[in-house]
Amino acid sequence: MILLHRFAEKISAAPKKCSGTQTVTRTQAECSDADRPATLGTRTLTEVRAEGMDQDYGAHTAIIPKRRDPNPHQRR
Amino acid sequence: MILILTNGDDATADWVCRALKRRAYLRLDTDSLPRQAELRLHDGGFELRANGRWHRSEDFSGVWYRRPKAIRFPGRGSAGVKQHASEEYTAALEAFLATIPRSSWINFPSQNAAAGHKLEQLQRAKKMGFEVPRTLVSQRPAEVRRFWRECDGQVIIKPLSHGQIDHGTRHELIYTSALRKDDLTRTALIRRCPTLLQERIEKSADIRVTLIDDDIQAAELIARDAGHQRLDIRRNNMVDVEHRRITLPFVIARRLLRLLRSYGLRFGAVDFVRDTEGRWFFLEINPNGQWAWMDLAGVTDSRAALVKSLNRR
Repeated sequence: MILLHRFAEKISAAPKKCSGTQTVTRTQAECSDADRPATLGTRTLTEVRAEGMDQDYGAHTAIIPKRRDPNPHQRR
Repeated sequence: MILILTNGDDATADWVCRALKRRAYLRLDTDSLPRQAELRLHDGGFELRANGRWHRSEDFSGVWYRRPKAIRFPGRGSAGVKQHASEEYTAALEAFLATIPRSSWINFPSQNAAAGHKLEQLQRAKKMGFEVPRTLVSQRPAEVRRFWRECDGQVIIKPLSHGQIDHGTRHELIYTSALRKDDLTRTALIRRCPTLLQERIEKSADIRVTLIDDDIQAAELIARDAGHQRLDIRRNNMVDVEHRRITLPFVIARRLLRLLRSYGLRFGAVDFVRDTEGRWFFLEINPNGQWAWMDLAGVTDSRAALVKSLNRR
């Protein structure tokens, strides 16, 4: 543990599918789109809103990362 | 044609693709690439086949380096064999991509990496004339206590890297938080790791700026807790944040362009705060940060700017 960890707060995992809880109209419309349903919905909002959770993706010098994404929150 | 490098779960890329005609872009979801694409190098040059067509590097006016993930190799085989096959595939793809000029990329990944150090950003921004919050990174309890006194106890603590802790089945987040007096007594924890502390700014607004080449779009993000601007605007998944489009002061805009160009970035998502006296403080650049949520909130149109830049030869 380090000092920073005293400020850690529990969160629930991000929803995986369209749950109907989103509030942005445009996203709701996309949620019903059959084209790429698995990637839309609440998770879209998580992605586009939870700014800063995204961090600085691309913090490596290779073009394609060599290993699986080590951070499950990266997509946020 | 635009080349988009990302992964199959990237909703922002989905959203950008919706604005493009089918033959105006090629999206490569690198996590599933072996099912999606074929590569060949022969006497005629290097080519990539996807969506039923062969492509050469010169077909692409721009590359949007969004969020590619490691290539996953499908089928049977041990983990080691599949990992090696993925690396072979990666080497071929990277060789193809290396034939696309760096100037066509938004952003080229090594430039993202070079621009990705918060503390270096603060120093560089200060040299370029931005105001930055008083900052201390230290492992010395006495130094931390002195900083606390110098700031009249108005000190925030925040991560240097990122704020997520993965415990497997559960997760924790670390937001920017106010340092408490009793934290100063945790000397063992202070000594264990460099900690980033900054003087707390009495904010009137958080400001997020999206720069794409010469296009600058900015929004104020307002969320009040007991009459004060929220310490970390990202809390509560930003559901109660009010967004307002603003125009950057000319001096800030000019400096910002200079700062991004100093890193060779064509894109940047930049955070500022404005204090209650109207002073602007630079916080950080996210070289591959999020921006689409502000388009969806109706205050920016960065998607159009991005597409325009990627189509530029």
